Amino acid sequence: MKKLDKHITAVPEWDKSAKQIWNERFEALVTDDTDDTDVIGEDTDVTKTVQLWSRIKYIVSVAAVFIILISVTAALYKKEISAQLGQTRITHLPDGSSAELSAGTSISYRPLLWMFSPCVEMKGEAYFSGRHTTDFTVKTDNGDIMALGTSFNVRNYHDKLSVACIEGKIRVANGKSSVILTANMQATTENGLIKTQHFTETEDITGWTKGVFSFNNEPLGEVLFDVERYYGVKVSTPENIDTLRYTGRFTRDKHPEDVLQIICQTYGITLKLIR
Amino acid sequence: MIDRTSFRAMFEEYYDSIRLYIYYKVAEKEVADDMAQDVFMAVWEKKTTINPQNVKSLLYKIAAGLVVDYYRKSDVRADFSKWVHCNSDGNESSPHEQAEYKETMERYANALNCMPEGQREVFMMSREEQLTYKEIAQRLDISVKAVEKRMSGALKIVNEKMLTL
Repeated sequence: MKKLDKHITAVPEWDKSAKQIWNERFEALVTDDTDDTDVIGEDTDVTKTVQLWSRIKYIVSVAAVFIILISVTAALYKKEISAQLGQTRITHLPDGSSAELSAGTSISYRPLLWMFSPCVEMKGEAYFSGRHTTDFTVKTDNGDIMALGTSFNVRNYHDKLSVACIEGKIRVANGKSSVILTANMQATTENGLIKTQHFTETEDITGWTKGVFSFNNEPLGEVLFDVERYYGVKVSTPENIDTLRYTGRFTRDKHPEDVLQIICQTYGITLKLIR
Repeated sequence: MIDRTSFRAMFEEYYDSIRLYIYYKVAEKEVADDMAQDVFMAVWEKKTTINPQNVKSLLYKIAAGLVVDYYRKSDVRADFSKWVHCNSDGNESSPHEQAEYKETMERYANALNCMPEGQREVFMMSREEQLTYKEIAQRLDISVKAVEKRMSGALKIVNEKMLTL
């Protein structure tokens, strides 16, 4: 038997060579397709442009979201200033006017929104002076005070708001009603009503800014509350003092025990400092 | 992406091999020719999405897929007996020699028919196209070890069919 030599093959003889097949079938196909290819080329360009656009859009929207987030955060940023018990503090507001905070008072405002709403929230007692921006407003739990270029003292404790206009003109409003105060007028709200009255002694109102605490026929409870605040102390308050009223004047440099001593002498009661 | 020039170059380089590859699997000349053209048509239609880097093994994969489809439709067994021939001049040989050639060719065709498809295609790529194992491995996207394994299997069958009486 013959060995399987190189002449023996299983490969048939093809009817057409690869070249013939190309010429017959593929040459025309590829040429016809030229326009098609170009279109596909354009398509790809269009796709690329579209992709680029959607990418730009994406970047822009991400940037926009960040800008909005940052500006909202910035706009909501609230500056808070407070005076500790036993001390007063002067602070300047963005419009250049000043606010003097009594002991234990805190105010807050949004510096970046000042241009749109010059508005200060306040708890406690403060004296606002200087030229204020138009629409300058002090907000308290018991009503709002709109300044019309002026100096005024705001005192807001518990549910009582007391506003004294030292110079110029202010408006006090509490939702239900509003009054305009001119110099030497004082408004107090109690149970939602606004009462106005005149005062002559500016010192009684703004004395605290100079370290002088004046009381003019004030309820004793309120006097003691102020003493606690001004001197940063605690006083053991006896019962049955609701009816007592006190008139007097102290300076900051007095010792709180001496102050209590003086008050006690008037009524013959005992007041003690709690340590 | 494949452009016209590279498609043409690819056709010229691989058309014969793909046609043979299909032929190794189905043992039908006409089928192999038609199917090989289908392979290249498929590549041309998908030219925008094809990476020219691995087009070689892709051609073989498309071809193998078409063969699978072909066998799904008809379950004829590959029969090489009608194709095996001797391409040397038979004129000088004696009738005895011619008879011997005839028997050898029959045995060769029988050996090919007995081989599993995987072994056969590797064996024929090596013997009929003189491709190296490395080249075969690249085209079929298999390891050289796998090619060697299939070859040894194929040679075992060849020896068995050619030598036994």
